[in-house]
Amino acid sequence: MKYVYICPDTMAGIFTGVYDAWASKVGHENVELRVKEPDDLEFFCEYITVKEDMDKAEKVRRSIQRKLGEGVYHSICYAACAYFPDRAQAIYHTLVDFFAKEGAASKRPLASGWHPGGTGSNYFENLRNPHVKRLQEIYRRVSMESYRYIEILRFKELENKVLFAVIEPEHNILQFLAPHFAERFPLERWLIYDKGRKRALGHEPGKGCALLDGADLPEHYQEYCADSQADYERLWKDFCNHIAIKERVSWARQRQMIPIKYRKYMEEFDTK
Amino acid sequence: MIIQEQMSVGEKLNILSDAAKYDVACTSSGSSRKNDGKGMGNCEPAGICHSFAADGRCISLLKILFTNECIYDCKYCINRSSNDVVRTSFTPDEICELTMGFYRRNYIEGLFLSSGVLHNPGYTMELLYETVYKLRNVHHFQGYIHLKAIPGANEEIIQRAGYLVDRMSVNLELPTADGLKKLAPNKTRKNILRPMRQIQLAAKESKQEVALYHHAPAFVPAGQSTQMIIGATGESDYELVHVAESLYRQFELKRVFYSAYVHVNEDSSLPALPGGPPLLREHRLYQADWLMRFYGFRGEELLSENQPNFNVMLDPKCDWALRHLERFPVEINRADYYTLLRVPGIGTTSAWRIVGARKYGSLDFEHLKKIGVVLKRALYFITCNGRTMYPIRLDADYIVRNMMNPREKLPVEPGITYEQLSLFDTSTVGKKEMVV
Ligand code: SF4
Repeated sequence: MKYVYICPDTMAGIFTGVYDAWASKVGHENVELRVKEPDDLEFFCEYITVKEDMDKAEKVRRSIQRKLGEGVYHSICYAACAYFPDRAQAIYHTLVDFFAKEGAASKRPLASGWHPGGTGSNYFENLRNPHVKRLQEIYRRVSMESYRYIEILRFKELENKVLFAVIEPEHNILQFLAPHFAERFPLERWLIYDKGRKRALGHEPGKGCALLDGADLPEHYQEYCADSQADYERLWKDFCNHIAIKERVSWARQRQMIPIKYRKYMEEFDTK
Repeated sequence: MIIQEQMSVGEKLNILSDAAKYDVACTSSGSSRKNDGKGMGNCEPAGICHSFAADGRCISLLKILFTNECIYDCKYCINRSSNDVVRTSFTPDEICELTMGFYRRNYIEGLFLSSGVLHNPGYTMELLYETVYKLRNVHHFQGYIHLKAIPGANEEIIQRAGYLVDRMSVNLELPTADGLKKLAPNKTRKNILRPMRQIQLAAKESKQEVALYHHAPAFVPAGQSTQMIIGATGESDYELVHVAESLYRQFELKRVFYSAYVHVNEDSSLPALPGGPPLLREHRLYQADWLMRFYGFRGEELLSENQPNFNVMLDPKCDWALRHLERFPVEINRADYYTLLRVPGIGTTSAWRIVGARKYGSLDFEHLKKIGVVLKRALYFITCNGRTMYPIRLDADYIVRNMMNPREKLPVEPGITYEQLSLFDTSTVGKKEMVV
């Protein structure tokens, strides 16, 4: 018999699922965690719908932080926000394998010299384990995408001085952008909008950041731009054109470095 | 000379970014500055690339000249005094405004400010100083600034500027004093090395200060870099690597940049280079530079008097490995980090991963593949638990023949056919090692 836990699609939801599945004692190998109802129900399979529970989630969070350290916890948070359907499964089985089977290989710091605390802080090095490997991969994809958007997101200045950016990321990365831009623009009001998820991250000087769900983007938001916005876009575009050495032009290399799919909101590229 | 007085900022930007593009450095790495809550910007130690130009180079900084007027006449330079081009200059305020405007929109990490020599070096340096001073103290800009030090300016102003910026650089221009005499008659090696030394010493001193007093101002915290032009004069790769190595060692430079010579002026003292800029050569030099900075290679291991130039068809690490087969095969489950690094197909990341993962049990080839080792190249040089992946022969010709991979991602086609391959005794095409 297989037991499939359907978790709410949030970090706390996945952590609650981990708690429930563990507590059920049906045998870890019989457990599967998902974040979405399957399209087809399978035979010999029990489906359990997990209800988000902050206390349970908090317990899971604390034992990850205590035993596996901040570094691993950080990676798991990123992975929990991925788009991949198997992310909850990878998180669950990585945790199970650590807590119930393999444990920490040593208490020595990471090869890189970094020891973020917790005896299992180097458990992520255990790439021989397929769940760890997968979780690591998921984490990398999400963190790479976050980093990518830190690079390529473009603010437009609106009439009311707010800096406004639209993004369409694959993963749910908005909250990971917050520390970077809050540090960088502490005196500005800015808003980053995830168009696909209708989610916004806003920043108010002195007050910090907030996430907003269910926000709609006005269709002609471009009309709210400050007058100087178009000038700056022009200047930026010209600069990008002039800085290239024509004897070295390589469109292939440019495409390799910045794939077309990311260019939609980058003013220096003509996507039309 | 045509000097345009009434020119819009946009027109100036076009001219002065055009004139600055031959400077290759565009990195914003090496500085980690937190925002103090009173201004705009910070510095990410890893650096951030905000875009890529049509030539595939990263755009991270607003790279401009203050002015393209110049009293000097360096033969290779588009701005040389004998050229008839439109000249213009920014004002410090214009540069500040552009920098802030671009930065707020997340276009750039900061400013890279260089300049032609206007009137004299001291006067030019004053203008550069005034610009970065305003940026830091009037606009409270806390992002990255890379400033050129103009050789010949007095020490005091270079000193003051160094406390405002993240990185300073003085261009070596050409690798040898002779080349300099021939192509940059107004410059001397001595003149270039003097500010370089000054910056090195000041940075060292400031590092100690900062260690003692946490809030002491930092002098060029991201260190010093330089650049030299490749292929305008007749040096061998061996000489170039040697120059770079001594710059790293004697001047503690953070980076040496290589700039493939681009033919912009007609001049009898310049090579014609019908094949375009020597990009492949530049690529090989960067690979070698990488090996020296991160892989523990020494220059003389890579090249020698007898083998003064890099193999066009083979990356420097592979080339080295094939010349040192006596050191292989390497046992994956035992070899230390630095030994692993010497294996073609294993880069710094995969070497770390191997060292980390084998703590949990021994690794086999399947694991290595998942870890990101490029087995196609590594398999000739490694064993897992004493076994090789296939029965292989540790023989240079054999490896070369089998490793042939015509799809190395080179910046240019090497312009060599496989029939010509036999000219190079141990040649093959490997995959770009730098990303492995
Ligand atoms: S000093 Fe030489 S290289 Fe620099 S701008 Fe003047 S002519 Fe060009």
